[in-house]
Amino acid sequence: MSILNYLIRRIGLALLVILGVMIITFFVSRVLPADPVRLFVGVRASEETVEAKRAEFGLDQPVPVQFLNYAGGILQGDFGISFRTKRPIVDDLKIFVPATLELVILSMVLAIVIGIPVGVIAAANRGGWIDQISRIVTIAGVSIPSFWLALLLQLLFFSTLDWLPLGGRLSREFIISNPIETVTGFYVIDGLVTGNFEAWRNALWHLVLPTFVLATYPISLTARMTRSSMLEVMSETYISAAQAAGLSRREILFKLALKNAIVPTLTVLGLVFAFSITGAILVEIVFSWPGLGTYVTESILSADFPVVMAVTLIVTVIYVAINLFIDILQATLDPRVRLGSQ
Amino acid sequence: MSFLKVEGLHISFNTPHGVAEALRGVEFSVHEGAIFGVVGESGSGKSLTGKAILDLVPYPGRITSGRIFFENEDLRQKSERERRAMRGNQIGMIFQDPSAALNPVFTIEQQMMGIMKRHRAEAKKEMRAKALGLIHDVGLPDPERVMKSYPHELSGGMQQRVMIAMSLLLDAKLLIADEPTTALDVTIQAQILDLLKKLRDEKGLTIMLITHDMGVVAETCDEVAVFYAGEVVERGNAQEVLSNPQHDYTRALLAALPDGSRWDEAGEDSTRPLIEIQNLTQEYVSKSGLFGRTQTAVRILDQFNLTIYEGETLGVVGESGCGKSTLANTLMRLIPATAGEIRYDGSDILTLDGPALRQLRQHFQMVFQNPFTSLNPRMRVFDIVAEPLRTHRQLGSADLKVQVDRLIVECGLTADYADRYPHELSGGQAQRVAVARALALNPRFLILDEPTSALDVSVQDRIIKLLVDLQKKHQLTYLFISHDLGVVQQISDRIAVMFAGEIVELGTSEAVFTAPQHEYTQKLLAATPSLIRMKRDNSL
Repeated sequence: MSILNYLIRRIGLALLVILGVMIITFFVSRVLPADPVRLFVGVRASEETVEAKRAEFGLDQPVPVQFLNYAGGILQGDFGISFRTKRPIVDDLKIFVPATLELVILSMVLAIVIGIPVGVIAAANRGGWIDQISRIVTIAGVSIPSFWLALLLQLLFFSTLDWLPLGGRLSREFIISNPIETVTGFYVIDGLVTGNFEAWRNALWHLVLPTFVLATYPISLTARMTRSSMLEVMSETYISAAQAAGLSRREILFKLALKNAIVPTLTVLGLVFAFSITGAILVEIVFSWPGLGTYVTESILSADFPVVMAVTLIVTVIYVAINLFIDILQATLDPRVRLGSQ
Repeated sequence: MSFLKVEGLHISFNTPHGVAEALRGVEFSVHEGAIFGVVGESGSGKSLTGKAILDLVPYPGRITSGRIFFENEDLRQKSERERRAMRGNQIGMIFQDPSAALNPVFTIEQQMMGIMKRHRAEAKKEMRAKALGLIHDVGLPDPERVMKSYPHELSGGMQQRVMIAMSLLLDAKLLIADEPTTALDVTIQAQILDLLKKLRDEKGLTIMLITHDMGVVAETCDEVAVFYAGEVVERGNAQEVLSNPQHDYTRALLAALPDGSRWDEAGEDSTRPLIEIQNLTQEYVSKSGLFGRTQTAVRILDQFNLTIYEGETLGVVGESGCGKSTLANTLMRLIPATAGEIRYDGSDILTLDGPALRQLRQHFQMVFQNPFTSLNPRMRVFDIVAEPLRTHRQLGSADLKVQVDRLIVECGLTADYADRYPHELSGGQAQRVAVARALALNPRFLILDEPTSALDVSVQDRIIKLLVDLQKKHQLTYLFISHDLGVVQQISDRIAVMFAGEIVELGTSEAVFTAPQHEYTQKLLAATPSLIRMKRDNSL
């Protein structure tokens, strides 16, 4: 099957998944007992005001019509208006999605840059002290609750050493006097693009702790996966054959064996990426990070359904896209993975 | 002065249960330009010796003492860097399973160039030309296409040729071939052995040929060392050792070889058909295209006809991919048939389902090739044998124990084996458990799918004997599938030779062996290592 055929089919399936999620979130939000219009207008509003608002939002129409309106709006990039902030949800998402993705993507980069080499080196020195230490550290890494680790690091690096900021994306003085202009919403990129290096450095400073906390789990998991699949690959005959051909240890480990061993690690990375988007909620709250997590938590608590639905949809899209990307990457790494074979 | 000399080599493994000695003072020497056979059963230390020469003893093993001289230099005195330069450059190695010895995610070209880049400073073009030349030398057509292929796109025989070409890239003088033909079909085996002989003659290569197969030794080797339990028990000129073995173990090894004689005298010819296969067709459909609309059917069995008579042993021989395992799986109703009929006692079994199929399953049982993958590693022997009884019979725990003990003892083990796990058994013992499990429900028909291929030759012998005894006792009918003509001849009343999904020859065991009619059967017989032929002709 050609790559193009495969892509078309996978994207078609992805659209079906997204449609399914839209339908489910929509109907779930309609059967919940809370009345969103009452929440929107407040408890003291009169019945007339409530009904007027209900008509304005189209909530007095039959449910299928409401769904078509909703789906049609999304196709035009309109997620509706947040009951809580009274702003278009799209405008909120433009701020919060990049903030969260900035954390998640950086923590994934850490997982790849730290986790994979640690796994390879641990496997290469199986039973040695590097292996033992990395095993203890990574088992701690996958089991420590992130909010607890976050609090500990804040205590150490903010309260005691005063090296790093407590939370937020930018220090107050920058927000007021020298804010980073929004281009992509990613401060790391926008700061550079707009030439605002002072604020850029400040943004990086704010990223250190939350990124590290969010990355602890992915780094540890990646290291453990890489170690175990490296050990499996290293016992294969083709590795003995490479040794018998006189290839150096480094070539064998990082070139020959890793290309085989990385395939299962990629699957895990794909799942962890998607998981981290929602997993970031706790980290964002501890570090007062104005991201998707904070946004959606407050929306859930105030029954702000349009926001919950929009965020669910966004996460679904990211999840589906990442997994498609990983599948294609694996097929390019391993010629035996046949795209779409049944 | 010898080319390769091993003196007092000891290797031990540190295990949780203490130190295990795998090699205990191995000694031998190899002359330049010789094909030196290293023969022995699994666990005798023959592969380990080969790896030790390249300093590739697997974790957690280590060389505790001994010396290895290559061209009069003590390899163990060399630095790691010197030893690595020597690997590939001076000494090359090929392995048992070529599909496992080639890295699946790199093309042949990438793998070959990777090796040369490490050791040679030549221009890329020259290196490539050399690789192409070697691929041609090992007898592969279209070297350009082979270079661009991934390993899985080549057949087993082609992969082993590529491995040999790779090991010669750096002009190695010594080639250590670790069971280079064991994973290959018998006609391919003959070709690879011929290639090794040709390389010795033309390039003056010295070859250390590690094998468990005395037939291969007789066919190929000048000198031989017989390994037993980590020691060399006999060595010398190959023909002398084979014709006049001194050590008991060598004699036992030779005696265990199939010699064309039958274990059981042929019984009265049964004329009652037990199973009739009529026009059986088996297709695999692979889908491709945007919505899987392009369908390609691969026909494994094509209008297949075969009658199996009650009480006989029907041997089925053929090479990998000829459809013999598909036949077994279809008979067992493990995979659905595309078309055709299989009649058992007169009624079609392909249409059975529900309770009737469950009933049939008691009559048909199967023993698989590798007992360590066909026995659940988390279950004790008792539960493995008891499982079919628990499924089909309502027995009290006392009755169950009596039954299981009887089966285990009947298969040549003692009742105390019931508490063991499969990994605590030897290959032969594990296969006995598999046979006991197959017999638990008093079946009438047993499919034996290469039941001895994973076992050492002396163990093969005992399993065959067990099967023959059980057949007599229980009036069983056997379908015995194998790629090994010698073993098939030992046990079969009739033999069916399969090729590309069809039976090309079917006849009594004697007829097929003494007067093969079909070209493919003749080729198969000619490719069998000569020792078996010599032994059969009593010229040994």
